[in-house]
Amino acid sequence: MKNKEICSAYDRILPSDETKEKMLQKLLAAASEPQAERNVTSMKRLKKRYIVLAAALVALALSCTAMASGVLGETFGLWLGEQKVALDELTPVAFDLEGYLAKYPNGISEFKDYNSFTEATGMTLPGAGELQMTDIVLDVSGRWRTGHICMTVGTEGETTHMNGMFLLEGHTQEVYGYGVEAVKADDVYEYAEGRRAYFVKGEDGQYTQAYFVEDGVMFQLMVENSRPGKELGKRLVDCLAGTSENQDVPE
Amino acid sequence: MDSLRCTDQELTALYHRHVDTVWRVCYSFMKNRADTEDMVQEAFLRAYFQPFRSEEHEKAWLIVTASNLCKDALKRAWRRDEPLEDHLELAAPRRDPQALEAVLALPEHYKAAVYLYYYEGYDAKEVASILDCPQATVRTRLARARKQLKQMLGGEFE
Repeated sequence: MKNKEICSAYDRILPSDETKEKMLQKLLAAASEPQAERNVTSMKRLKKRYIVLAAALVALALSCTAMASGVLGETFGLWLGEQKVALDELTPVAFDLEGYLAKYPNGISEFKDYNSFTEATGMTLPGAGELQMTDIVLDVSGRWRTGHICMTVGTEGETTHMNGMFLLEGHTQEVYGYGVEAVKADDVYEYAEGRRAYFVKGEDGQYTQAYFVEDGVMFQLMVENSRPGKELGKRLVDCLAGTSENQDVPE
Repeated sequence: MDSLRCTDQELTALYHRHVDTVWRVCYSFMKNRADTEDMVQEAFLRAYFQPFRSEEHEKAWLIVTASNLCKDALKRAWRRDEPLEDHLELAAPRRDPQALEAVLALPEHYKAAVYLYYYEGYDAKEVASILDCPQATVRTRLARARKQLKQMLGGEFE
């Protein structure tokens, strides 16, 4: 049974003919590429590949869901169910957007280590002096002036997966953030000057995500949902905050 | 596998036949244009290797595939939401976006059923067949979605 109001609503979201044509050209280009090459044309596929490589991320990703608020004027945030958690406001990071896009026109790149990352982007990450940051995948949108980053991060021989998002100068989006379905955080870790990292247990109970903001980047850190896992998470938060020497690390 | 690929002409024709449908489905889940574009492309790329029995089969397949792709994407770590007004590229005069907001606000598991029933005009039996679920489930989802739409649209929705 068709409904006039619903039909009208759905028709209102259609893109212009020009947009459709551009999408078709992209589709034909993607379809003509060999499968292996196509795998690097989309950040989503890149992320998928990383998810496959990192079993932890698979389990965690399943426990994540998108934040879907129509509220305008909000900035980045963490949403636990319907509640928005106050985190440090994100301010645009220093980033050589022009130089980066000249080298990586689609905005997507991979770096073996932190040094090659910072050389290509002009961006620095907190904790880089203490932590080992490897297998870095970066997706920067010149259009939206936002960046997403995935990497393996490690300290003292232990590694895990970490995501981050940040804003660039000229950012205009109104709403952006991580969202999880958990009604409340499993643990709130106060690590420096009252700043907080929120540990949220994944749906399957195997993994925990830690959400926090440092140096204008909102991080999502994945650790095992165990005492050692959470301790690793807290150590990594400390390193990223530059407070590792001042914190009491749980035994 | 390559032998199952359609030609560029066939892919173009497939795209033109169904891009609006796939876009509507993907946008209703993703709620922003950038992610919708990614999902639409992914759905058609998958269709590229898919043999179809008929135009109706390819349409149903694309709707289900697009819905599943979107649901998977929404489970991942991040996404973006953008002001709705930025993405209404309509030649027609702007109308009250209330119905659109109500549709976009529906829970994920109602969206495909609502789209198929209220936009595409399939009956509950056909919707159940396309979504591969019992008719009773479809009727329940439609009833609950209808209730939510009524609330959001001021009780005028039927």
